[in-house]
Amino acid sequence: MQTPITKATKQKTAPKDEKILKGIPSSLGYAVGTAYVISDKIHLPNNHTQQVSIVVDDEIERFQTAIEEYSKELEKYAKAIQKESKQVYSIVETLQLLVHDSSLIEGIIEKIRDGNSVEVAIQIVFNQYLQTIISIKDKLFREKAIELEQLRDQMLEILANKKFFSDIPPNSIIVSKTVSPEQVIVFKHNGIRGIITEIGGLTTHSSILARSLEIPEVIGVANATTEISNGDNIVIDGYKGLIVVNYNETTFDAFKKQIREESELKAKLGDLLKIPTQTKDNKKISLQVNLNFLGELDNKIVFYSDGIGLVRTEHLIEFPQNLTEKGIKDFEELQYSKYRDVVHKIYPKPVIFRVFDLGGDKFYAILKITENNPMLGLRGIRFLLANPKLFKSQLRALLRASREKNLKIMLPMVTTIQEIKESIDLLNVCKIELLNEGEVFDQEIEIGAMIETPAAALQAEAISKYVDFLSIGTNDLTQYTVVADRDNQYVVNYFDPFHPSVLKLMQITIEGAKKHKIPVGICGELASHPSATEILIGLGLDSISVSPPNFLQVKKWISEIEYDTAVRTTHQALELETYDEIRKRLAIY
Amino acid sequence: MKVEVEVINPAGIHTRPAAEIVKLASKFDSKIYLEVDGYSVNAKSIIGVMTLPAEQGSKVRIIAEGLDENEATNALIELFKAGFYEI
Repeated sequence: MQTPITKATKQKTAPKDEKILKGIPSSLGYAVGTAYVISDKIHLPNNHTQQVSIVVDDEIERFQTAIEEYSKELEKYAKAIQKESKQVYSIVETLQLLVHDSSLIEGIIEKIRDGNSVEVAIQIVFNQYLQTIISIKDKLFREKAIELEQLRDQMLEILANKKFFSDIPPNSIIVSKTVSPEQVIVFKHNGIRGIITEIGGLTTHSSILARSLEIPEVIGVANATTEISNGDNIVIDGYKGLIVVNYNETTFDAFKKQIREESELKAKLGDLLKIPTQTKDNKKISLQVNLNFLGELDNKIVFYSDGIGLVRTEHLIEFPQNLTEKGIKDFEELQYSKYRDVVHKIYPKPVIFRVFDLGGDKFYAILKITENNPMLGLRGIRFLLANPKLFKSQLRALLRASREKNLKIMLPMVTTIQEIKESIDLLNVCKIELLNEGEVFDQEIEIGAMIETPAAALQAEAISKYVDFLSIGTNDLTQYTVVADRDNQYVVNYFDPFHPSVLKLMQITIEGAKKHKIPVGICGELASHPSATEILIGLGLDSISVSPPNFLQVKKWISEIEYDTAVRTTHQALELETYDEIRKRLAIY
Repeated sequence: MKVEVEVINPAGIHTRPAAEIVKLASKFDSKIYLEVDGYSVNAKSIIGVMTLPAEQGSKVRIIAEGLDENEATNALIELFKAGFYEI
C-alpha cells in the first residue's frame, strides 16, 4: 500500500508520550495518519426512548425512505470501487438482501404500528434476531451477531444523518470498536489510510474487504478507542499488528525506512507480484516459503508468497528442562501463543506446521537419551510417539491455534503406516478433550506426512489413503537413499539429490499422491537448486516451498519454464542410469 | 417435499452462504423452509437463514410446498452439495 508521508501527519506541538499498542495484523501494509476515533455512540435522541406521540403513517414513511437511502448510499459507494473487487459486489449484494428482507421490514413496521418510533422499532426487532443468534451459539454466532449489530447501527445512522458517515478527512486512520463492510467501502472512497478495531475477526466481511481494497488494518486492539484520542498521530504496521501512537522522531524514522524498503521490494517484485506463480504455459504452482524462526516473518516476501510450506516448530520454542504436569501445561500455552502468532500473520494464506522433528543430529542434548547411531534412531515422529505427553501438548496447541482454518499439521520422518494411524488417533483424543473444554478449533484440520525416507516413498500410495497431503523432504530422502552424510567430507560426492534412485522415489511418491487426489509438495533444499526447478515441475509437484531469500529467484525460474517441455525432459532423465548422465541432461553445473 | 442435507463447507452457513440460499430460493414460487433441530426459518429471508444454527456437519431439512417444490428442492440440494461454492 502506497502511503505518502505528508507534513500534516508529522508531529506538531508539545509531544505526548509515545505509546505502543498490539493487535492482530489483518490487512498488510504501513499507514501513517491522524486518528479519527469513532466512539460507541447510541443514535437515539432522548425523546425516542420515551413514549412520545407519533404518527404511525409518518413513521412508516420515514422508515421506508431510510431503507431507500441506505440502498442508494450503498450503491453509490460500491459503484465507485466495484471494478477493483469481486468481493465488494458480493458483499453489497448481501447487504441489499438484508435491508430489503421482508421478514425484517414487516417486523419493524409491526412494531411501529404498536406505537414505537422507527428507531425504537428497529432496535426491538434487531434485538430479537440477535438474541436468537446468541442463544443458539453455533460457531459463527459472534460473527453473524456483529454483522447484524452493524446493520442496525447503520440504519439508525441513516435515519439520523441521511448518510453513512459524516465526512472523514482523507489522511485519517479510523479507530473504532468494529467496522462494518459498508464503512470499509466508504473509507476507501474517502481515501483513509488505515483501520484499527477493538474487536473483529480475520474472517469477517470487513477484514476481507480491507485486504481486498488494500487498506492496512489491525484488529483486536484492546481499548483502542480509549487508548487513542482524536487527532493523535499514529503509524500502523499491518505486517506485525503494531500501532505506535504519538510516535517520536526516532520511531518515525525507523518506520520511514521500513516503508521505503516495502516500496523497493514492491518495485523489485514488479510484475511478479501481480501474477500467480506459473510456468510460461500457465501451469500454476503454489510457491511457498519455509519458516525456521519467528524473525523470518520480518521478511515481507513471506506475505507475498502463497503461504508457509514448512514451519520447523522445534526452532520456534525453547524446550522445558523437565516435563511435570504443570510444566506441560505451561509449555502448551507457550506453543499456542507462538503458533497463533504465525497463523494470524499469514492468514488467509495456509501454513503447514511440522511437529517437533527431534532426534538425529538435532537437539540431542534435550532428548536425554544416548544412541550409538542417532540418525537411525529415535527421531522425528518415532520420538514423539514415544513421548505422548510432549506430542499431545503440541497437537493441542496446534488445534487451538487452528480456529481460522488455515493451519495444517505435518508429521516428520514417517516410515510406517502405523505411525500415521497412531498420530491421527492421538490427534482425535486431543480433539475430544478440547471439545469437552469448549475450545473452538478446525475440526477438519488437515494432516500430512513428510516423505523423507525410502520406506515412506515406496509406500506413498498407501500413506495417501490416510493423510490430506504429502511433502517431500529432499535432504533426508537423499541421505537415506544413497547412504551418505552430506557433512562427511569422505562421502560428500555420494550425496546427490539427482541420483536416479532419489528421483525415482520422488516420482513414486508423486504418483502415489495423485492416485488418491491429494496434493504433494516439496520443502527441501533441492527446491532452491537452479537446475532442479525444471525436474520438480516436470515430476508434477503441486507446491514448492523455499527459504524466503530464494523466493523471488525460484518464482522467476518457474515463469521461464514450459511445463510440457519439463515433463518430457524429466521423463527422459528418469530413463538415465547414472547421475552424471542426469546432470548432463538437465544441464546441471 | 422434505429432504435432509448436510452442511459440508468448513465455515458453515454464515452470511455469504445465507445470501446464496436466499437468492436461489427466491427464484421459486413454492414456500420453502429450512429446519435444524426443530427450529425452522423461511428460506427466502436472509435474516431468518442467518439465525439458523448450521455449522459444518449440521443436518438441515429442506421443506418445500408448492407447484415447483421438486425443482426448488433439487436446486437447493445442489447448492448445499457444492458447499455454497466455498470449497
